[in-house]
Amino acid sequence: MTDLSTLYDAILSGDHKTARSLAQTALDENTDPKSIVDKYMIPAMDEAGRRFEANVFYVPELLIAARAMKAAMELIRPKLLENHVEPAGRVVVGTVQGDLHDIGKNLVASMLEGGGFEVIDLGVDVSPEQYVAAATEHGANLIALSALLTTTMPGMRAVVDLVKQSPAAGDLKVMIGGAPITQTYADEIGADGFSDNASGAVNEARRLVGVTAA
Amino acid sequence: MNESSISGEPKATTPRDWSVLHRQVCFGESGGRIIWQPRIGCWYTDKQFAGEPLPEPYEGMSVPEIFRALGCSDRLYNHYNGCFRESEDPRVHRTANDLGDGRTEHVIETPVGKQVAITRKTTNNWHVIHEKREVETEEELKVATWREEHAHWGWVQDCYDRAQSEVGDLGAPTIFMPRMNVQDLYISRMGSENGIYALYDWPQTVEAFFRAREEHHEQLIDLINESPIEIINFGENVHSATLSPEMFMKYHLPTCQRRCERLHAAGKFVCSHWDGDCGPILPLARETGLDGIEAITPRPQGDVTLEEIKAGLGDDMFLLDGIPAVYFDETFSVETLVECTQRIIELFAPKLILGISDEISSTGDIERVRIVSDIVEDYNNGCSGEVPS
Ligand code: B12
Repeated sequence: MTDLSTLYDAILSGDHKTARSLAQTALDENTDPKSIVDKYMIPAMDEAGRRFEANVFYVPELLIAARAMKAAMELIRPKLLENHVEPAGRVVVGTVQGDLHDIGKNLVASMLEGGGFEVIDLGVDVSPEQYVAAATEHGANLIALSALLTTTMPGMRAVVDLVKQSPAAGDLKVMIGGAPITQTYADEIGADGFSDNASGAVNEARRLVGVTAA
Repeated sequence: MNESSISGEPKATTPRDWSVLHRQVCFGESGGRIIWQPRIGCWYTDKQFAGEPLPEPYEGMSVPEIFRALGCSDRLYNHYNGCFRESEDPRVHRTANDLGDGRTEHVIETPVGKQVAITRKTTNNWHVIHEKREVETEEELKVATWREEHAHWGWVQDCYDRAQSEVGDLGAPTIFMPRMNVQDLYISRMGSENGIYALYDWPQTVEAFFRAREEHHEQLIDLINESPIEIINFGENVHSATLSPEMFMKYHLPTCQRRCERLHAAGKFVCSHWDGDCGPILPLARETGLDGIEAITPRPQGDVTLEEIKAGLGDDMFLLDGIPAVYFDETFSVETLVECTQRIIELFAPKLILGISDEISSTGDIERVRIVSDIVEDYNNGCSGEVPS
C-alpha cells in the first residue's frame, strides 16, 4: 500500500502532478475514497490555510496547494458519488455586481472545494437575482459573496435582502468577505457569516452549514 | 504624431505654477514645503460613465480645470506618458473581431505564432472582463517574449509640447514606466492566477520573458535619461499577497535596483506604485533604491499603520499619497480625515507628496479635497525655509 502521507505532502507543496498520480494509485489499491479525502487531502488544505493565516504562505503557495487538491479531487469525486458520499455543502460563489476583483473570490472557492464543498462559481459582476437563481437551481445551502470596492459593497445587502424574501429563506445562508468587509458590516446588513481570509471562509462555511472539520 | 528628437525645458513659474514646487519638493529644494496631489480620475470617469452630473461648480469642467478650481497640483502621468511611444515590430498584425454581446476577440499575429484574447464589456463602468487573456499557454508566452525582443521606443515631442501648454502649470512632467517582470505577467499578460501557475510550471520560459522585457526597458531608460522628464514612477501596482516576499526578492527587487541605478545616474527622481497590501515587503523598501513609494494605503483600508510606513521608509524615502481613499467618503468624519492628514504631515514632511491612496472613489465628497488643500496651504505658509530662486 502506498504511504498516503506523501499525498498530504504533495498537496501542501503544490505538486499537482504527484498529487494526482498518488490519488490514482490509492484508488487502484482500493483505498476508501472518503478516507483519502478526510485523512490526507482536507488536512493538507487545512494546514495550507493555517500557514496562510500565519503569513508563512502567501497567495502563490496557497493557490498551487489548492490546484494540487483539485487535481487529486477530480479523480476521487466520481468515486465519492458512486459511494453516495454527499459534499459537505453546496456553495454558490461570486463577486458582486459592478466588481471585477476575483483573485480573493477564486481563492475562497478553491479552499471551499478543498474543504469538501461543492462550489458553483458564478464569476464576477454577479447580480443579486443571479445568486438566488443559481442557489435555487443547484439546491445550495450557502451563498458566498466577495466585494473589494467600497462602491460595490452595498450590493451585498441587496443579496441578503433578496434571500430573505426567497422561499429558501432560513435554510439558505449568506457569507460575505473581501478586503473592505468587516464583521460589523456583516452584522449591519444581516449576513450570516464573515471571514477576512480564505481559510477562515472554510471554517465559517462549515459552521453555517453545520458540519465539523475533518 | 511623429517620433522626434528631445528638446524643451519645464515651464517657467506663473502665480500658481505647481510645476516648480513639485520639482522642488522631489529634489529637496522646497524649504520644507510639501505638495498636495490628489487623484480624482476614478471619481470623474465613473460619474461620466454613469451619466451622472458632477457636483456644482465642477459640472462642465475638464479634469485640469477641476484641479485648478480645487487649488491643488496633479500628478500628470496621463498627459506625459504618451511622450514615450512603444512600437511593435512591423510584422506584428493586430485584428479585433466583434463577437456580439459586447465581446471582442483580439488576434495578434507574429512570425513566431499568434496570441488570442477575448474581452467582454461590463455595464457598470469602462473596465472589461478578460474571458481569455492574451497569454494562457507557454507558446503564447514565447510569442509575447518575441514581441518584447522586437519592439522599440521613440520620443514624441508633440506630446511633450502639448502637455506643457495644456497642463504645464499643474505639476512637473511625470511618467509611469511600464511594469517589470512579475507584476507585468500578473496584470497585463496572464492574470494573477495563471501567472502564478506559469511561474511554477514553466519557470525558464517565464524568466526568458522577464529578461526580454528588462532589455526592452533598458532602451526606454536611455530615452528617459535624455529627456526633460525628471519624475519617473514605476507603475507596478505591487500587492504583497500575490507578490510574496520570496518573489519580490527573487524577481522584483534586483530589477528595481538596476533601473534605479541607471535613472539616478541621470539625476531622475524615482518612485513606485504599491497600492495593495505591503506589510510583508515594507521592510525591504529601503533596499529598492527608490526615492519614494506611491499609494501605500494605511489602515483601515490597507494593511499597515502610518507609523509602520514611516519605519519602513525611514528618513530618506518619500511617501507619495498616504490618505486612505475611504476618508473621502461620508462613512468617515471630516475630523478623521483632518487628523490623518495632520499625522501624515507630522511623520513624513518634507519628504511628502501628499495624495490619496489610491484615488477618491465615485462616492467620495470632492469638497473634502479642498479641506486638505487648505491644511497643506497653512502648513506651507508656516515653513520658514528659504526656497532657492
Ligand atoms: C488586484 C487589484 C485589482 C486588479 C483586479 C484583478 C482581479 N482579477 O481580481 C485590477 C487591476 C483589475 C483592479 C481594478 C480596480 N481596482 Co483594485 N485592487 C487590487 C488589489 C491591489 C488587490 C486585490 C486582491 O486581489 N487581493 C488578493 C486577494 C487574495 O485578497 P482579497 O481579495 O482581499 O481576498 C481575501 C479576503 O478578503 C477574503 N475574501 C475575499 N472574498 C471573500 C468572500 C467570502 C465569502 C469570504 C468569507 C472571504 C473573502 O479571502 C481572500 C483570501 O484570503 C486591491 C488592494 C487591496 N489591498 O486589496 C486593489 C483595490 C481593491 N482596488 C481598488 C480600486 C479603486 C480599483 C479600481 C476602481 C481602479 C481604477 N481606478 O479603475 C478598479 C475597479 C475595477 C472593478 N470594477 O472592479 C481599491 C478600492 C478602494 C475602494 N474605495 O474601495 C483598492 C483597495 C486599491 C487601493 N489601494 O485603493 N484592482
